[in-house]
Parts: sequence; structure tokens; C-alpha cells
Amino acid sequence: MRFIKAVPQLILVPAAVLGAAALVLFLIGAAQDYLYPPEHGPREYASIEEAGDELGFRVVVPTYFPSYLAWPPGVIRGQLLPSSRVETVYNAPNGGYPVLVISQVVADSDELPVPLPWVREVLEERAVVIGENRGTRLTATGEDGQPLNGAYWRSGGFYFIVVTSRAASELLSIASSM
Amino acid sequence: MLFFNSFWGHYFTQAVVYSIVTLAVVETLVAAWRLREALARIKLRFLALLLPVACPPLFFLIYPPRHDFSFREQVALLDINTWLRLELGGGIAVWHLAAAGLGITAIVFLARDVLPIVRHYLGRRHLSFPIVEEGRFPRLDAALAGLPEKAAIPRPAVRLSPDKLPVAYTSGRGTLVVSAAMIDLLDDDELRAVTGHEIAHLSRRVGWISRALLVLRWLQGYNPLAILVFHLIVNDSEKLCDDMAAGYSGRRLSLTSGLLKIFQRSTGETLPEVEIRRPVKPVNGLEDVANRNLVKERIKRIVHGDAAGVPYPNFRVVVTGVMLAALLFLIV
Repeated sequence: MRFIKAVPQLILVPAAVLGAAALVLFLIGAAQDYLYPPEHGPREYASIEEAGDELGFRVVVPTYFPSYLAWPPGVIRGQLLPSSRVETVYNAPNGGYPVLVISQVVADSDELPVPLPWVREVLEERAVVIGENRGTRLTATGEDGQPLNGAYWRSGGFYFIVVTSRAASELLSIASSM
Repeated sequence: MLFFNSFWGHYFTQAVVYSIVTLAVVETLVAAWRLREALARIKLRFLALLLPVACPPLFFLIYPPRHDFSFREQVALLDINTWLRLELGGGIAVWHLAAAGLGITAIVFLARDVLPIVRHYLGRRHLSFPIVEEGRFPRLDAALAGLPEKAAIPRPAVRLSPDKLPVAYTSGRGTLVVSAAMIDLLDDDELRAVTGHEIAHLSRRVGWISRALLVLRWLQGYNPLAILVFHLIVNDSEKLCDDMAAGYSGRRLSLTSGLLKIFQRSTGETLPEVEIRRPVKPVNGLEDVANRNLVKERIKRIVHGDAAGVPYPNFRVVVTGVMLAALLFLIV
């Protein structure tokens, strides 16, 4: 009985102190957005590291990196607002044409958050397992009519979209290595 | 900045920020609950050492998406990395200062904590001190009589320090080191009270506290806040041993006068307020002042019997720990 009488004081005091601490933390977090508002709209980055630092998340790069891709990526384009995303375009070596595009979009919903890059018309879609994630593999035609292979899936709070002009087997190797 | 985006970078910065938050909350609660009992304070303050170490891996295990960008953007109360990236001007960002802080703390930790302990274990100076056989100092034997039983430990090995100053400390497992100067300086009651304090250090309870404290301190050699918490708990441990010694000997005031005599003989100082105000020496000044203040605080506490317990101390620790963990979960 004595314990029950004491419980409110035993719980309310730490609850009040922690509530005040939470408020202070929230205000500190909000103060930064207020003092240094993040930039709106897309911009290009000079490197993967710069993009990661600016955007605040790790920009995923495939570990399977065949010789028909040049490093570093030809284009690294991203934005924080209105929705955080980054798109990296990999060209063929020696200033060649674009071969691979990877979109990494912060998203919670199951719906595809952005249009499929390079794709004019989707010809076929089928379910596929990429690493530990279930996703969708597609064949499509590009803006210039060339055949494309693509895949998209969700993982770790991101939507990943990979589109390449290379074969489907290469697409799956690249996607699985991300 | 790459380092702060890595696993260990996240871990170190989270641990430091968790220490700041936990320490602020714990010290506010110590004041709000008027916690005077040393053991209750130790338990609560241990949260400020334990949670920063344990929470990051625990959170990762129970909820891996917590590291996702969407969690940081939409759920978290505070995203530490957004502050780390902040440019202060002149090419300096917050993460430069954070890296410097972690580095300096790690160097201080190595110099002040690691090297002395390594030297101590390599040297084992106290092991070269002669063992004091029973009967050599009958007054010491009388002072020790019954104390180990009260602390539920075997009789400690007593070694004689050649120090000309009055010293008494415990070292290694079950070793009590005393100097002849201390035995000569104190009267029988004071000697029993002071040795009771040292025996308390050897007790199982205080032994566990010391070991846990050392492990948590060593795990956070990079964390400046951990140094502060460590010293607060060490001071509380001294007070806990005072309480235990007073319980063993039943002579609170003898412990006070014993402490005062040792302090005055060791430092050549007295403790009145006028003495405390003397200018601080630049080298060991802060440590001297801290030591003097601790002795003052302990004496005041023993004299006034200012150690009344609060009800349900363990429940308070558990409730605070759970609530703090919930708050820390929202800091990424």
C-alpha cells in the first residue's frame, strides 16, 4: 500500500525531468533547421563522399563493378527537399555513353516514389529477390528506343532503382551487390 | 567527416551525446529526490556510464531501421550528424571540434588512467613492502579485530609502507597498506574507524562497484563526460565506505577526526573556509582543491549524519533507466 502511494512520485518526477530533456533535444534539433535551412531542389555533387555528407545518408555504390563501367560516376545528382534522393549515372570507360543509373530515394511507402529513369515504356515486370529483399525486375525501352533492364526494391528506408542497357544477368549482379 | 559516418564514428558520437543527456537527467534527479545515500547515488549515476555504452548496440539489435535516413528525418528528436556537418566558418565544422575533443580526451585518458595503472602493475611497488605480522603493531591488531568478519571478507594481508606521511589504502586483492606514521598519528578509535573505511573498500559490494566502474571507464576512454561521472562515483564510493566504516566501528566522529588528522598531516593544511580560498596552483591545483573539497564534504556528511536513505531506491533506478533508454532511442 505504501509502495502504491509512492508510485506517482517515483514515476512522475523522472517523467517530468525526461519530458523536459526531450523538449530541449527537440528544440536543439529544430534550431538547426531554422538557423540553417536545407537547400531545396536538385544539385550536382563532385563526389560520392560530398553527396553523402550533404544529404546525410550513405550513397550506395555497387561492389560488383565490371570493367565496362567507369569510376567515378559521370553524374551524381541529388536533393534534400522536397524529398531526399540521389541519382548516380555510370558511363562506359574513356568518356563513353551512360550504361547504368542508380536512384536511391528516401521513401516509406510501397509505391514507386519517382519515375523510372531513362525508361519510356515498360514491356514486362516480374517479381524478383535481390539480396534479402523482394523487388521487381523489368524490361523496357529507353527514350531512344534501346532495350533496357531494370529493377527496383525497398531496403533500409530507401527505394533503390537500377536501370542499365546491359543484360539482365548483369543487372541482377549489380543490384545484388548493393 | 567520413569517420563520423562510419559505424565507430556513430558509436563514439552517440555515446558522448548519450552521456551528456544521461548525466543531466541523473543529476537533476539526484537533486530533485534529495538523494544523500551514497549507494543510491552510485546506482543512479552508474546509468550515466552504462547507458552510453550499452544502448547503441542494444538499439541496433532490437530495431535496425533506427539507422535509416527516414527514421532520422521523421522520428528522431535529434540527429547528431546534422550538427556535426554544420560549418562554423573559416573551413571549420563542428565535426572538426568533435574529433579534436575525442582525440584530446583519449590522450588524457592514456596519460592519466592507462599509463599509471600499467606502471602500477609492472612495478607492483606495494608488493615490495614488508608484511606486517600480527603482534608487531598491537594497536593496529586491535583496530582490525572483527572488522573483516563484519565486511564478510578474509583478514587482509597488511603491508607496511615506508612513507613518512600517514597513509592507508587498499591495493590489489585483499591487501591493506598502512604507514607507521598513520598508526602513530591516530588514537585507537580513529585507527579503528580509518581501517574500517579501508576494509569497506575490500568488501564484496565496493569491490564490485570498483570493478564495474573501471571496466565502464576503460570502455569510454574517448568520452570526456565519462571522466566526470567516474569521479562522481569514486567520490560516492568514498562516502559509501565512510558509512560502512561507521557501521562497523560505531564511531562516526572518530572517523571524522581521523580523516582530518591524516589530511592535515599529509597536506600541511587545515580546512577552514579561509584556507580554501587560497590561490590555486597551476599544476595539481584543481586536483588539490577537489581532494580538499571531497574531504570537507565527507566530514560534513559524517558529522551531520546526512545520509538518510530514500524509499525504493532500486525502483527509482529501474524507472529512470527505462525512461532514459526510451529517450536515447530517439537520438541518432
